[in-house]
Amino acid sequence: MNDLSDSQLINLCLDKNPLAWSEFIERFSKVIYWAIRDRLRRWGYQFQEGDVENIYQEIFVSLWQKPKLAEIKDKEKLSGWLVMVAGNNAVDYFRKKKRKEPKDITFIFKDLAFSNDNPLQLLHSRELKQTLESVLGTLPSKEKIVITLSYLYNKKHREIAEILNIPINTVSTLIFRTKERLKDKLEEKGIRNIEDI
Amino acid sequence: MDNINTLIKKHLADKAVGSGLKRSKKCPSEADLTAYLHGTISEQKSEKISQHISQCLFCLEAIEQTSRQDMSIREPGPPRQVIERAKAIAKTQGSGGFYRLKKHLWLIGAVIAFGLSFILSKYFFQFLILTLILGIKWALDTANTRTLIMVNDAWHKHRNKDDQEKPAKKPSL
Repeated sequence: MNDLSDSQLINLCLDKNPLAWSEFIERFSKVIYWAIRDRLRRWGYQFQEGDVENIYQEIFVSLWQKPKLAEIKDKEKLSGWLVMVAGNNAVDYFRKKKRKEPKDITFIFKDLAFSNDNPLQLLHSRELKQTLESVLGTLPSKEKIVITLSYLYNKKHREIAEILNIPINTVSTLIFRTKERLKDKLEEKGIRNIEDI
Repeated sequence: MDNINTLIKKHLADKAVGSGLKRSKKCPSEADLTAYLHGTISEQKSEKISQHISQCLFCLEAIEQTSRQDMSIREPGPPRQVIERAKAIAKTQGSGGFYRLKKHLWLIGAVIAFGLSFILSKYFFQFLILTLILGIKWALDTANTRTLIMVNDAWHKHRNKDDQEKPAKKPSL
């Protein structure tokens, strides 16, 4: 069974083959378990090991009972899909079963955001924010995704290219072009020395 | 240029904080998101998903997580008894009535055709051939046969790979 490709394994699991099911669990348990823990940790949930085990079990029950595995379009690229399913199931578990929402999952970006401690800085930053929004807010959707992955998630150009399945040169050009556009716009507004802000 | 980088970072973070991420009805399914990332989706649908992701940090979080899946190698997996409990699902949850019926659909067809061959004796041979076709289809479609075919395929591939990896025999002098 361990010689079977992922897509062959899924087809057998869809046929409810118990041997294939055991192999499927052996093959993907680790990545599913990691995805649950990783999502809960990142989103700031307080969780016990028992919660992770319950979510893990629920995922496999739903994969066995519902034809969820049949939804996958490219069965050879299974692990990415499983990571998403596991992560989203972890969030759903806490929302439905424990009735717990994370305090504010966007807290992870808080340290990066503008500091509003200084009133003078706030005054300056308002105009600056408008300028930034006029460039970044009007980007085509794909470009916006690239910029967000690069700046908010600190992804390298190579990583973004791999995630979005696009050439690395496209990623680099896109980021460079956005920065240039923003620089021009800031200069238009008379903001030449950004350190003054 | 470093300051430009900081500005972009801060602006995006500023917009993200407090945006109250939640999965909405508009969020594409995990299957669609995966297909979008692998480019196995229509251009129209891809554009729609692209537009959604650019506004939805919930989906972006899911996508970002998939890019870190190699980290799972370093993490401990589930305890053995948890894995065994998951394996037992196949025994405890059963296959479901609809699935069992669907599994034997060709066989049911073959039996009906066989019965009809006697009732409509004028078309006896036609129905008999139909019975044979449906019977073969059922036999080939059963899980056990498919398993055997796939295991055989995988075994052959494995053997071919082994043969290729073996160094070619030196000609004897």
